[in-house]
Amino acid sequence: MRGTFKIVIDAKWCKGCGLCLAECPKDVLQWSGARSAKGYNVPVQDETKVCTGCRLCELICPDQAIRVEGERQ
Amino acid sequence: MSEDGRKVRIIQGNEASVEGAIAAGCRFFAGYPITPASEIAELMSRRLPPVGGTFLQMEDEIASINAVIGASWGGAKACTASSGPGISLMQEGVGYAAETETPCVVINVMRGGPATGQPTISSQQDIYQARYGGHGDYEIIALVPSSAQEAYDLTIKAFNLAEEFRVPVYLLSDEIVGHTRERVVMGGPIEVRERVAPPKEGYRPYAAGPDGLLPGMPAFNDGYRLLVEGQHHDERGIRAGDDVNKSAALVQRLNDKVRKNIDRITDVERVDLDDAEVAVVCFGSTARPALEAVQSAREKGVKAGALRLRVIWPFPEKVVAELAGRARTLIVPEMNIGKLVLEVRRSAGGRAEVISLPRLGGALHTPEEVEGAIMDAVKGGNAR
Amino acid sequence: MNEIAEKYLRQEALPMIFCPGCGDGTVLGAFLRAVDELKIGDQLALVGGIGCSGWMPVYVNVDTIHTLHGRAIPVAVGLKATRPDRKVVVFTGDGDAIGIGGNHFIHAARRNVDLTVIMINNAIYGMTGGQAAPTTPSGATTQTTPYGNPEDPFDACKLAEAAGATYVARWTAGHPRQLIKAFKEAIQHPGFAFIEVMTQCPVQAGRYIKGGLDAPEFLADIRKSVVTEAQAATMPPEELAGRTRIGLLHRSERPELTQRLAALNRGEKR
Ligand SMILES: Cc1ncc(C[n+]2csc(CCOP(=O)(O)OP(=O)(O)O)c2C)c(N)n1
Ligand code: SF4
Ligand code: SF4
Ligand SMILES: [Mg+2]
Repeated sequence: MRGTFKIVIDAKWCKGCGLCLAECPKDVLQWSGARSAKGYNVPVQDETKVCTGCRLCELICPDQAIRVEGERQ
Repeated sequence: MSEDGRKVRIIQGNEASVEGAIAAGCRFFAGYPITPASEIAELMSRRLPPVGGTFLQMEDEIASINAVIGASWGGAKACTASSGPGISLMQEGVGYAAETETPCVVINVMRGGPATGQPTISSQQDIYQARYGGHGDYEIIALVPSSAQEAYDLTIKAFNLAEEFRVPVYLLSDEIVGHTRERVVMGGPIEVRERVAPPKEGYRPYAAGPDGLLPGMPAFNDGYRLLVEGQHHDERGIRAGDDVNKSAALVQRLNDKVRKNIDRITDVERVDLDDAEVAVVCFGSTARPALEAVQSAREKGVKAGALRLRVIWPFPEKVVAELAGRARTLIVPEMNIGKLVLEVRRSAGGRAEVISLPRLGGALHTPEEVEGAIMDAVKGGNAR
Repeated sequence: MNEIAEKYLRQEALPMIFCPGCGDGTVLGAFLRAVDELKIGDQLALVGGIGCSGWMPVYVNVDTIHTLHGRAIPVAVGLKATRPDRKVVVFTGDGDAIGIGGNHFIHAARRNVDLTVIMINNAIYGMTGGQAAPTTPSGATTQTTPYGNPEDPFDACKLAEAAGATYVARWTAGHPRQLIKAFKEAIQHPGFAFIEVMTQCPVQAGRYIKGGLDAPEFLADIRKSVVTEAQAATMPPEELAGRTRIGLLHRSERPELTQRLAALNRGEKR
């Protein structure tokens, strides 16, 4: 069974590089269009997509801005 | 061996430096062979393993000074030794040690330069390199032995000063001191400054006391979570190169901690100076003929004396200024193009005539030559 | 920020200086996870060279020394020799390790001193603005090779192996899971362990060598250029040509330097 995962992206650290978007096999991450205080376009979780909790986005994020909450069951 | 643990041996200055280093607690040496300093590495390779220390022959002198820096943060009193070409290669590392306040000792057994110059012949040409060899503004401490005994004593002192002031300290030996075999009294009740670990509570590795000095020296893997940073940094060690105020404050302190504590560092020998009209300001192996010349002139009734510098950096300007206020003439013999004389002249500030007695090529001044200069000065003075 | 980063990063030193999308941060993240799995935080001593990659250890909240350009390895040797039980890890760039520091690199490998050396290969001098490195491909344009690089690059892994390294691996910033495993192996390996990480530098290499690829495109490009042993076994020669081998490339056993020095201290062979 899959768990339910929440992807928290910390706008304080995100530099809007897009690696997480490219990395996610399920296209869960999308550009939010909103600029962070530092002027970067920060991604958000697309709730219509299903996150499998693989944590590839968390691993690839160079700025350690991503936290995947929830446990795989 | 005597009752108080002293022993007397006839050894070279280079050997005496090794014995001094080990007596001072040196437990790490990294170096690369070069004449006339190789005996130091050779003897270190024998002496260190039995006392629990480490000797490494590195791939070059750049590696040597950097391994010494690593070893010092690793918790060991550490040292390297070389001569002209190798000391030139070390300069970036010496500046790094100054910036990061890494205690270490660099022994330069001076030979003639520039370039390969005179590998087997003595000189005193590298005295300004010791002070100004690296880029940027920093201060070091430099000690200059005149004999094998002083190679022993001043090497111990070099380690003590490195720990106290958290600076690279040079022992500016030379080929003559390094290779002359002489009687050396070793051991006994010597003063050794042990490393003290700073308190961990709220520790800020680069927060200095009122005298500009950092308290103690921490080691890696002792629970400090140190950050040692070669860029200008704040009290936590965090980079501050783009902060003009923090950068200025750090560089000012790195210089002031030596300059403002000069009275704690200055070390001179005064010979017959009380009534001297002519004084020879000397250091290192040139002090040997200089002291003979002064004695001979005294025997002829001339009021001659000598100021022998055991520490040349920081330069003892107050001592020289005071002497210039009393003696009429200061003579500065040195085995180079005439270098320390510039500092003597600056410190004398016109109150005494300052005569340079430079010598190139590596032959030591003769006592007669120095005495001749003393006599000329006396005559010149009378004629005035 | 994720838990591992919160636990291990030196918060007061943040943000990291890296450009958006730089692979250095990903590699650092993999390193933190390896350290966490090994539970060796207190034994770590980190050493950084000069270059973008040299900043990586500065952000880790353990004992760290940020050295001179090219000199991280000799500093690491001094740290290791004074306490062989510490785990010394060097973070270095391709220019830092095999350009200006090349002599130290080969001699540390020859001595088989127990260090882990992580070399970021971005094929360029990143920090100074995109000049040619000893890893820059032949023909590539950079700020100092405007007519194309007239030189051939080093294969750092072959160099390490030939010099005597006893653990040699190559991965890319697009292989974080493999990197975690490799870092764990390298740290536990009792000898000179070398890991080259091919990394996207979207700002300098991306602009000058790759003609403007962004970070995801650049990483995809790197992934396409490499091949594991297993993949190579099934690949036709024409597809294999020009690809770089990744994975564990060499592993051997040989007496380690600080162990031999300790034997001297104990009086053996003296
Ligand atoms: C002795 C010296 N020479 C030159 C420099 C300037 N410098 C700083 S970083 C660097 C190149 C770094 O390239 P690399 O090692 O590949 O690291 P990267 O930035 O690509 O990660 C240079 C040449 C320096 N700091 N010191
Ligand atoms: S990988 Fe990290 S820094 Fe890059 S866009 Fe995603 S969250 Fe932001
Ligand atoms: S210049 Fe390149 S290597 Fe350096 S931080 Fe930027 S992307 Fe990374
Ligand atoms: Mg590079």
